[in-house]
Amino acid sequence: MISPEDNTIIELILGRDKKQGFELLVQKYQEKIYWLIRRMVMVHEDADDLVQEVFVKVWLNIHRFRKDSALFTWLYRIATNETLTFLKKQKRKKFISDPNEKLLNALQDDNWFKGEDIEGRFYQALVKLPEKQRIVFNMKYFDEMKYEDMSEILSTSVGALKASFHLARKKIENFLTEN
Amino acid sequence: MIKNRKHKNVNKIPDGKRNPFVTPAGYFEKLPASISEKILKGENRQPGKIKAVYRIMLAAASVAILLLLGFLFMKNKSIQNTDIFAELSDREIIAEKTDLLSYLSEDDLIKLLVMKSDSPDDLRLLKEENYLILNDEQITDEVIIDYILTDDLNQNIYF
Repeated sequence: MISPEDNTIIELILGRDKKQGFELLVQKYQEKIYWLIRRMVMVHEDADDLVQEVFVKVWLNIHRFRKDSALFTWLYRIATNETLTFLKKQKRKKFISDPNEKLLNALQDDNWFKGEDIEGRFYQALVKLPEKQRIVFNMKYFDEMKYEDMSEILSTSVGALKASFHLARKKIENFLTEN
Repeated sequence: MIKNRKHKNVNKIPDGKRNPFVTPAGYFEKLPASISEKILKGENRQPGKIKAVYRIMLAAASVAILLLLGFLFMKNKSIQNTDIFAELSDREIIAEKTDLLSYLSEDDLIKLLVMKSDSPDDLRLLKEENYLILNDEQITDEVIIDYILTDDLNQNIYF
């Protein structure tokens, strides 16, 4: 269900002051959405484009939001769809070379990635996961989301999500053991 | 931080959930303004004007495609007709022509035969067979068409 704070934001957007309500919404969710996207695309510039695109879509489609789901699940759904579409397009463009090359290079750029060696390897393992498995892992591991919320965002059953997370964890552990 | 150590369990990675990514300084302070700017740009676009230009372009392209298709169709049809006639035997061509001949009067048909049969042999044959008698009431359309379809004569009749 929608939280009282989100309810105020929605009421402002749909009624009294769309601009002010939207500013509150952006301020509350921009970082969460950015990091969800950044962990998927790794490159800041891509994450920046995508996060702006997501909020533009939110602005244009907010009237379609139904209060029977939480605002953050609705926002996450838009963000995951945008991100997965972007990654698919990237794959199509880079069909000759390794589609993950750009993502792996981003992990070696000292300006944008300040992780230790083990963290670098951990994110390398993440890049090697299929996109949907990666997004499941990120939501559970980093955002500590409930499977029920993830199920709503990704339109996937809780059972399938649990299996997906388990598989992703095994793959990462194996990668870390081998590397 | 311990470097180059193997960790089997992701939960045991030191500061596994620490965020190692970096954003430009003040990025999140500027982000709302960037989003507002993007929304404003989108709203300031003139969709009506763009749509009108697209509509004109679409109409022009449709006309061009139709003209091209028409041209190709006509060209193809004329080639096909030539090919068909090249493949037909004289008899078949005459058989087709006889449909047209059925619209002519008896007198006109006989005149036509005489005009077209410029070979002396044909004329002789026509005389012998008593077909070349103008105004003869016995010469019916059927008789004339049978005559046209005779193989020997077909070789010398040109329509």
